Amino acid sequence: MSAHARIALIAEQCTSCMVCVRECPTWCITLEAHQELDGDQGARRPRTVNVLDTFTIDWGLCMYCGICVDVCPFDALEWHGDAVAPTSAPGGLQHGIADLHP
Amino acid sequence: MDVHEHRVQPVDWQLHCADLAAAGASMLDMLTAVDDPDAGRIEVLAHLVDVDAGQRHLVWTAVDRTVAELASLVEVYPGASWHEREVHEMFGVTFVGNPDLRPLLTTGEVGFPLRRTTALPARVATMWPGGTEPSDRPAPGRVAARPRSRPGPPGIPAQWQP
Amino acid sequence: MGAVQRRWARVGGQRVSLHVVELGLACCGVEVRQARRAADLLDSVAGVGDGPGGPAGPGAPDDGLPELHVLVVAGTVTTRLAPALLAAHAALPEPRAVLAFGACAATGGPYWDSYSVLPGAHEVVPVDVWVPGCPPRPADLVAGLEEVLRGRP
Repeated sequence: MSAHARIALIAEQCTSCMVCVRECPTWCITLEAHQELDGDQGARRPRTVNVLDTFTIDWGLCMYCGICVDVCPFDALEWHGDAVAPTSAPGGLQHGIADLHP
Repeated sequence: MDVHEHRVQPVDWQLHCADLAAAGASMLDMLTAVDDPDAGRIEVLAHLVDVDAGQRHLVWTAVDRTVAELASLVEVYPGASWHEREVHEMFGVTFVGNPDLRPLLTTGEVGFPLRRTTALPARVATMWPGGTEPSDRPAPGRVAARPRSRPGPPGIPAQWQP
Repeated sequence: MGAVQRRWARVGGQRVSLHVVELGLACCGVEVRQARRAADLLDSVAGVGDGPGGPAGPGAPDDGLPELHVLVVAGTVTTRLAPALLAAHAALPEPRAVLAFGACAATGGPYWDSYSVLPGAHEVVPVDVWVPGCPPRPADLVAGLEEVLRGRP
């Protein structure tokens, strides 16, 4: 099987920079995030970090171009060889963080 | 193949292409257009090929967007008929002398689809997922950041941007 | 367009004659047609082949088994072609199922925003199974047909 059958998200590496969302030609990626303070650095003021809430790929819209994989500055998206399964549920092609696990 | 670029005035369009055809550019590869709304004009391109001499000619001209008229090339290249029909349908350029400029594909819902000012209704009406930022939901005690410029959805003309 | 294959299949313990009709509308249609050329493609669908003729036996319209008709919509559904899709579905006798093959049949795919494309076959006909891909591979067609068979009571 070819290695370009599915795109997986390594959620720990995602910084919610939104680049993949904006570069996707079919607008198939949706990302929601919020910000939190991380004060454990011992610095003068706490650091603001992005926290990923939801990341969804609509496989019904995805055209498997791989632009999101190429453009992610943090290598949080990668190709995998196992294809997305067919579904009989109308929203079944929208995969969240859990479904997008490598 | 050598590539030669020519830029002519609309009034010289037909004659210039006829001269190139007489000199050996016997094949019309493509006739298309590019919309330039900021300059108020539509550029028309004819790609003519002299196969024996191995030369390609890119002939450019520009017509006003509001009065988009140009002489037809069907007398020189009969095959230009469909190309001109398509440019007429997609850009609204009228080719004077082309006997048949009926639309090939569209039924008139969206005006001239390939003009840059034509907005795709589905794209305008759909919320762009890239319009949000994590800083829209800031940390407690912090104010939402105001970036100097926020990107708008791509492919939508300026007046239709959210 | 409209190419047909028949096989026996076992659906929920019952043998049926599986009748696959391919409606190729665009690039996915080319893929489905090529996938069908593999002689053993339908036979690799789980549950297919348990027929009177033994494994991999072809079905026939008059073999007396109940039939299941599957319309595979493979490609972009343009507004001009929508009535043809509706007619193809209406012409298919019950019990019937619709398999939306590829991104265009699911949502309009890369052309979702076009003025002349319907954002999915479900705008015109009821869809039972969606197979993602652009285009999906032959193995995905097999998986999609298996999902159709799983969904029948």
